[in-house]
Amino acid sequence: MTAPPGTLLSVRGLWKSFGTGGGWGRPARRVAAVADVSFDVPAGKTLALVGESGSGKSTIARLVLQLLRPDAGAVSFDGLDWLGLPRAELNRQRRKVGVVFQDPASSLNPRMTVEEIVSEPLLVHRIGTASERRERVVRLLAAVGLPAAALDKRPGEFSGGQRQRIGIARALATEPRFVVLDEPVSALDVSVRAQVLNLLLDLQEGTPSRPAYLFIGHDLGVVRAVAERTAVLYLGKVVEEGPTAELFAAPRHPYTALLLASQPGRRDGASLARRRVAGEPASAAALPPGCPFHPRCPSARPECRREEPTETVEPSGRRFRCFVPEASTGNFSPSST
Amino acid sequence: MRTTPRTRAAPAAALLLLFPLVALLAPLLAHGPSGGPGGLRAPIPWDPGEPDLDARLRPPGADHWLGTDDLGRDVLARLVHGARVSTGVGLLAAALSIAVGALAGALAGVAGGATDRGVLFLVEVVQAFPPLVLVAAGAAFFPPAAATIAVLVAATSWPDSARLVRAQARRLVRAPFVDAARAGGASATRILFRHVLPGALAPALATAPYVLGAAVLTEAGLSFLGLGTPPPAPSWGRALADARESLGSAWWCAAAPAAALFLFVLSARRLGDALSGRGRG
Repeated sequence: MTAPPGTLLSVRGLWKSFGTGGGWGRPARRVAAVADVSFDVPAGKTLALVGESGSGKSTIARLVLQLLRPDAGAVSFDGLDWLGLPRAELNRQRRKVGVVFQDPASSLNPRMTVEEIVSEPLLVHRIGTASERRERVVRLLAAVGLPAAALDKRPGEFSGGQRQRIGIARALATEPRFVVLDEPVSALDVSVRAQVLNLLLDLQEGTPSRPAYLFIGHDLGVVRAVAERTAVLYLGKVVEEGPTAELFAAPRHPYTALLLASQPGRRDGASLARRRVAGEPASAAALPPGCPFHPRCPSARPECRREEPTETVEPSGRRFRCFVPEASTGNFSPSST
Repeated sequence: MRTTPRTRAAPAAALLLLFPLVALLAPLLAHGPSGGPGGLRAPIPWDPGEPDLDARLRPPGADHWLGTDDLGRDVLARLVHGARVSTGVGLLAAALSIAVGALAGALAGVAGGATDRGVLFLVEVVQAFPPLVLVAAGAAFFPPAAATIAVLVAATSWPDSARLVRAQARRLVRAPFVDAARAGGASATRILFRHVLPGALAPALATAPYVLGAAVLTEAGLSFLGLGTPPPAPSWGRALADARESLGSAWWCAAAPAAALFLFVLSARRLGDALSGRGRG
């Protein structure tokens, strides 16, 4: 699998496992949180990673940001071998990357003022003079809808939505080409989610650097609104990936179909009834043999219990891991995106 | 009445503040007719170091409010100037102890791994020795001076603040705002000093009064044993040692420095209790 032209971030065969339960003579077990994950983020576009909690999406974010070292795999960013960079060079390159975390309360240092928080990336990368930095922070705050009066306040004086705006301003301070959005609206009140999402979309359009987004989420309604492509994760594996509209209109993997059907407020009750699948996701600590999804899968066959499906790639660029993919419904045309 | 740490700390802090204040003003408060700055008359018109063999062991009275010692020196004047020794040693020891402890603890908490194990090993080695033995051994090796005692007390007391700061630092270094700073390219030094240390310092600062109290007691103890601040500095500990001979007849020579020590250490410990939320009422 080679990265198509225009790819900014390319992830290949990423693995990360964590040890659990060891000590006092019992052997530690390795649990694969991320298993053989590959995806591409095109410049200026958005790729969404969706999955239940425990599916490894936030671990992938931390691996891509190099807050964690992967056990195996390759990450290339802007043509650079992102994992092989020496520490100092990596820190220089990090200017091109921003991040927004889920919890705006804990992702801003409570002891720093808004100006200190938003200007820190500028300071770290020695961008501008003190007065230029201050000007830039004021512009950034205006861009995320906060008044200049916010400069000298601390995060504690703001609401959750406002704090997330501060975090977004920080993420965009160095005009990055790539921003990791790790569940950026999940911790916000429903009433401000749409505002913050629209802000993120407007900023992607309106910022000169046109940042690409890696959008991590579990809310399919949100993902549908923001992402050109979507990758569905199940227990650390990408089970299906493709253009968002096609993937939502005609899921290939039964797990994607299950996720779509179990969205609250979705009107097609027939599909919900048909798709209601008993069971919790299997734990990554005790993976079943064969396809990891087979215990919950409505269309599982005997071979699904024995063998793990390899990846099927369709000519349209969609890919999935399933022996018994959902039938093409035929009521969409691949060109309708 | 609901008590907050602030209201509980206030009386102890006020009493404790008296000592550095007296120490600072000592040259104005007590000096002989010739020795004062600016030619002002002192409220205590006696030089702390000037012996007066005609006025030995006078009981407290109108001339000498707290009496005189075995060399005829004014006990109150020596008490006031002795506050300089105790406060100096105490504050220097507390500042050194917290600076070293906080730095070592934060470094261990942020770096983890071998650095963390190394710091913990040092902490345990230091804490495994009785502090007075370490200090007394050190005092025998190094030239006797107030600064030496402060350094020795700091060298034995930093593990407490190191442990406290390490625990906080381990918690803080996992906070998402530290991840955000790292992902933004911030160096390890910047994360240590900008993001972790400021938030991890509070519990270490709350131990400052304890270190202060311990340092004041240690200085007095060493001076009592003759290992402390050398003459002519009017140390309370040596005043106690000198007062032993005449304890039966001239109780004031021992009572005054003992009371000062008692109040200093008590108010320091009470403040420490209030700051760290221990002890109520």
